[in-house]
Amino acid sequence: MKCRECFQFIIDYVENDLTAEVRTTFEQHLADCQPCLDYLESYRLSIKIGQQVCCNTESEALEEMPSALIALILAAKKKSE
Amino acid sequence: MATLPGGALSGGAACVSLKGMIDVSSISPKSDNSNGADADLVARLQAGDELAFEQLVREHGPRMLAVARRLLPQEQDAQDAVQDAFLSAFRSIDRFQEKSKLATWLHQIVVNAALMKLRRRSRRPEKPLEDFTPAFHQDGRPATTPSRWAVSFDTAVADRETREVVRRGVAQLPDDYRAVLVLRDLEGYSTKETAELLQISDANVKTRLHRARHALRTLLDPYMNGAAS
Repeated sequence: MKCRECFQFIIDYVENDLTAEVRTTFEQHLADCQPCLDYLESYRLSIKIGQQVCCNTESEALEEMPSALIALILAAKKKSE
Repeated sequence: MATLPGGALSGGAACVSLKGMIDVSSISPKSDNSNGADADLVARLQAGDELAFEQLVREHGPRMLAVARRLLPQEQDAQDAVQDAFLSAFRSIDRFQEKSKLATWLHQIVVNAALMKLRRRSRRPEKPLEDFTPAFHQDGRPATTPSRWAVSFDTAVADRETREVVRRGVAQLPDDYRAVLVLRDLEGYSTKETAELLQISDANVKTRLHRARHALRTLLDPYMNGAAS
């Protein structure tokens, strides 16, 4: 397997969607190719960072709704009745 | 009623009607055990209690707005989607099933509303994501050798500049790619559910997701290597 193919298979590897045969070939390539291994780790890490930064549900729950938006929603509901 | 290629929806995916109405009839959230607190509020909503609707907006609005903002970087679009979602929820509250969690049901409605907004708004010229696809030599070797990131996860998420790069990077992705990344990686939908929501194939979801993740990784690269300051 070449690095180019390895790149193409990364998403299926991360999602556990590779066949056993391709997975073995993929992992053999990783064992011999430090740059691809580093790339895979950074790919996984960037997903994790994205989730942590963009999706902090605790702070979302605490954040207040703009009062103007609340008023708009309540008014729109009244109008729709 | 929305009709999507492939027939009925599965799991928690909802859909947007082709006529432009948010269809909540097909929303069947994954049930869980934390619905006890919802029962009273739902009963009051179904009885037409005005204060209950305001309580619903105040309690669930912030999280719904956060979801809408992830899909729609323009604040006005996000707020419009939340408004549409609450009105849809209000119209459909009689059909709400007690086995579902209210927050999950509302989450799916606001995702639908945001996606509908995304489809309706005039499309901006989009930067092709090929710019972020790694280049390879003829023999399959990468043109630029990736290196191990020097910065840890904890350091990265604690750094204000890195957090801003991530948020800005996601917001700047072309709509089609951002929607896939947000639904799949941030909102927890499966590939199949994402495909149904966006009315594209599973393979297309994977292609866009891979490119969007790679784009995000490319943006983070200088920060994670300590090269940016």
